Amino acid sequence: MADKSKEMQKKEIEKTDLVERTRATKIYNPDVDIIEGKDRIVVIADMPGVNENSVEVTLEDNVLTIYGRVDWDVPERMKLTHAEYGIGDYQRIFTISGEINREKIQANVKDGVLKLVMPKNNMPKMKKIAVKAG
Amino acid sequence: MTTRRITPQVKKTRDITRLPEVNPLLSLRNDIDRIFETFLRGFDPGLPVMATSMFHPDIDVADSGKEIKVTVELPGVDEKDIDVAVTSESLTIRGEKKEETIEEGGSYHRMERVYGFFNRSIPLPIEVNVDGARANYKKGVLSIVIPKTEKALKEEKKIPVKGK
Repeated sequence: MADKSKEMQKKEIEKTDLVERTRATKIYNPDVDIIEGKDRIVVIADMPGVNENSVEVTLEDNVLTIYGRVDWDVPERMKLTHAEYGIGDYQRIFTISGEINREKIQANVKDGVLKLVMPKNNMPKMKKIAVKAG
Repeated sequence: MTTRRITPQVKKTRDITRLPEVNPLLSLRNDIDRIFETFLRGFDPGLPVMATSMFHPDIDVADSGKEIKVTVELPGVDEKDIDVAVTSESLTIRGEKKEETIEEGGSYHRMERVYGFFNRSIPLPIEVNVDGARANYKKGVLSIVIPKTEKALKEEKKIPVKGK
């Protein structure tokens, strides 16, 4: 018996004021882990049902959007008799800071998990400014 | 549903002879929790009730008439870590979603994904051909197709509904 919070319940995005959509499906918010290391930030998103061809990662100004398309794969002749998870697309939007090197962001999909590796810029080392009495 | 118990630490008092302060409501709650735990453990002795690393993958079941198709969302699980067992009465899916160490010494800003062991068992209400079952893991979704037996198909009978 697990905690309620531990259950893999998909969260549907409620606000749809982003863009007019052409696909009549639900959109879910994928669960993500964001890990910051010394020289990079890694974002991992659970998006079951997507592969490398159905994920789009876009970066516009400071806004990083991940979008995963999931196709309904229940054949016509099949009837859903019990449903716990909904089938729909995934979308999540992040704002990234200036310390990310935009040119070197890498995205990788495996087993329905999207992994984004975002290297940080080599920021100049902190510099002390001497304060003089004057 | 059990909730994780959060028991505040009893403040240490300097006076050794004094008994630690105990909130009477809290101790009552703990007693009730303990009763529930032993009660629940009676149903499934193998399952630790307080397991915090357990997650509950979602399952969809579809029926084509001849076959039952079960799909499970298991993103990021290695297929070697998935164990599927089917009997004439039930289907059990268990395994482990392992946490990969990506950044040594990295700090988590967000941790929404769930790792750990999972174990789900669903009853099959109809007789199935156990030998004909097949499982496939693709794009983070496990799908299992189990054909029904000829006998089960024959036994399924349509009952006409008549009006007056």
